[in-house]
Amino acid sequence: MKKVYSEVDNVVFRDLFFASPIASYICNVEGFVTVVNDAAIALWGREPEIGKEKWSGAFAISSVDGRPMPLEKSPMARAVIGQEGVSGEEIVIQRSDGTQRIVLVFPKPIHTAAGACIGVCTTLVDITHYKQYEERQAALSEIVQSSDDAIISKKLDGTILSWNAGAERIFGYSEHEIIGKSIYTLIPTYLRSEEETIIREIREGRKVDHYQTIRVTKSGKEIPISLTISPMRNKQGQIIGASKIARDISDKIQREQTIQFHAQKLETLHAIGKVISEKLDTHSIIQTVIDSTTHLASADVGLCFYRISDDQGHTSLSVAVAAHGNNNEYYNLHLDEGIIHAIFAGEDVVKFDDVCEAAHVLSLFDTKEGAKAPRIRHCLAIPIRSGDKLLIGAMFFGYAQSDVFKTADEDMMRSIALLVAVTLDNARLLEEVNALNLKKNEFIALASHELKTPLTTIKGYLQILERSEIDQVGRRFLTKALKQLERINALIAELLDISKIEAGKLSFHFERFDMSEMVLDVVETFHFSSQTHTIFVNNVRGDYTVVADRQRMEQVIINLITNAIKYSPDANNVYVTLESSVHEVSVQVKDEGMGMSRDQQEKVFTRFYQVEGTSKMTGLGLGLYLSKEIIERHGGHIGVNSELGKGSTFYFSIPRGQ
Amino acid sequence: MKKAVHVLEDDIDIGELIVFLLTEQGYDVAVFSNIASFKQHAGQQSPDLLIIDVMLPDGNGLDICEAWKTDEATSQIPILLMSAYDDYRHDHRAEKANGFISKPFDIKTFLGEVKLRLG
Repeated sequence: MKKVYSEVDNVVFRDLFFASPIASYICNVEGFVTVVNDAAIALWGREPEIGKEKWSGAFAISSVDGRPMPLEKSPMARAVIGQEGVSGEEIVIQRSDGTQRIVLVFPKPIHTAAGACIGVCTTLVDITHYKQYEERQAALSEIVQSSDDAIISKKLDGTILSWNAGAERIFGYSEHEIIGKSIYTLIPTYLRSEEETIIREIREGRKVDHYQTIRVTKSGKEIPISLTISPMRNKQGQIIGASKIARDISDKIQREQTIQFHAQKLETLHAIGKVISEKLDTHSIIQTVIDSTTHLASADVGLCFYRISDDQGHTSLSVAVAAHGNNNEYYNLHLDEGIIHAIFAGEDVVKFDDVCEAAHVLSLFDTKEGAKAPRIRHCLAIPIRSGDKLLIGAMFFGYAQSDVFKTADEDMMRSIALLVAVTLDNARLLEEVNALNLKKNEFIALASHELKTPLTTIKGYLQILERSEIDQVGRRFLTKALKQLERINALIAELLDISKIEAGKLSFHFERFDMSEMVLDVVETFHFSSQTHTIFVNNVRGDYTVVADRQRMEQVIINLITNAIKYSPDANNVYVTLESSVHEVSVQVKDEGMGMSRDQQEKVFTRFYQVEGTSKMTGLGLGLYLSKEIIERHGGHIGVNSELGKGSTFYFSIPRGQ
Repeated sequence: MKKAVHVLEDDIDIGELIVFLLTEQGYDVAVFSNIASFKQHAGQQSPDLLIIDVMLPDGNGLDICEAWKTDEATSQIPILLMSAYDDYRHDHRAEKANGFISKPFDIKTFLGEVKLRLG
């Protein structure tokens, strides 16, 4: 049945055709474009020449896969020539400005009332935007699926809506297992309130960024994750759920812990090295070492048994303990060397997974009755061997829990055991050196005493001879012999003093006296003994009271005046000047001798120093060293001003004392 | 009457030297070379002056000094200590001694000390 349209209808149809926003055009049966509407012109981007161009007004057309499409093969031509129904085919049209449009083509053949085909009316629907959106969606979906992170969406009540491959990998649940389940499936019970807080934030439209927390996998393992949660809205802008990106940060946390562990290791090693280099007391070194190592090994208790020798050369076994909360006194600490030797019959580190099966090891951790110490179940034992591989000690680390026990770093422990061995070796060497030094000082004391005994009789004999009637030659040599005797005596005294300084046993006996009187007394003895020099004393008036060791002060002044005479053989005068202030008394001894270079001045107070080029000058080179020690031990200062060829001035000052 | 000086000195030559010096000055001198022989003789006669060397083969002269100075019967007898080891001067047992002579000594000083103690 055919509908017959009126003339009015035809006008309406024509207007509808031309005003339609849908691109439409008509070709005759040969294919020539005969009528186009504005929408078609807009879509092509050009206006075709009516009656001249065939099948399309576009610059060119191609199929969706990009291949050029000959006009005769276009859906429009096929609709007319082949009378095919090709409605809804997608083609791409090239516009005159070079851009493309993807369109759906609806060619409709036009027939006469008699049924003859006289052309085709084609409608083009632009689907470019829709296609682009589709592509973008596909790309987004691909990103979500291929992400390493878990990307999940959920409703506000917590029902899981979507679940990507990353989520499956991290949490272990497959998509079909988890969709529709509650998000609480992934949250440890003790963190449930956390989700409520997160949902509250989401409802308020706020995002939660990089929130670090714990989630549970299908296997029940708790893993650290970082969460980013954003509100999800519908088209009306209402919040209907949340999208959630969860990143497994186990590796990151593990790395952080590893870094922290290594840093701690380094810090401990550094601290141990520092202690060893700074402290000399072996017991306190070992205590520090065992304290920090026990902490580092995360052990509940650490024991360090070690062999140490005392200054008598006897060795004995000691033990240092480091326990949690400094409860060191909880342990009985049996010192049984047999156990240690039995444990390390082999060479290296020994691990006891269950100390209950090794009664001898368990006995090391024996606690006192009522002590609230953790029950030790596992033990890591590290031998301490000396340079010559002798077992000189051992470290034992006790653990109540096995998981911590397994992570203990054996290599680290070995290094620390080596450091301890070095410490013990050093301590032993130091003791040996100290013992030898003690013997040396004892020997010097004894030797000096033995040397002085014959000197006593020789001096007596010479002085008795001196009183008798002897000729001039005899008297001259007698005087010389007595002088030589005094020199030997002085040398012995110096040696004894040096050994006392070394042993830290140079003791002082303080008394109150007048320094100027003492100086005058000393100078007077030089007037008797020195035929070559005159000693002038200036400034004796004033208060020169000091509290000092009189004999030692005398020793210093005698030394300075003797030197002044000795090193000015061509001069005749030595000047001694006294000075005093409220707090100090000082003495200067000036000679007119050979003087000293700056270099010599720096060295002159050191031990065994002899001025070069003065081979005829005798002595051990100890006098000024002793003087410096004496003055400094009095809290004073000694020094020299000198110029080569112009003489030297030695001076010292000491505080007045109490 | 001659003043009696007892000397406790283990070195024979020093002992001889002291005997020579003091006899010359008119003192009555007895020398003991160890503590044992000194103690044996001690009850028989009190000296007017006792000279003691510190390091003796069978003990320390400082102990003898301390014992004599603590005993009322002998505390008034002057004692001179004598040693090549000068640090004994400051030993607490030497506190009550009347003098300390360092070896080697000057004979003038030595005789001066003796004369001073014997008045």
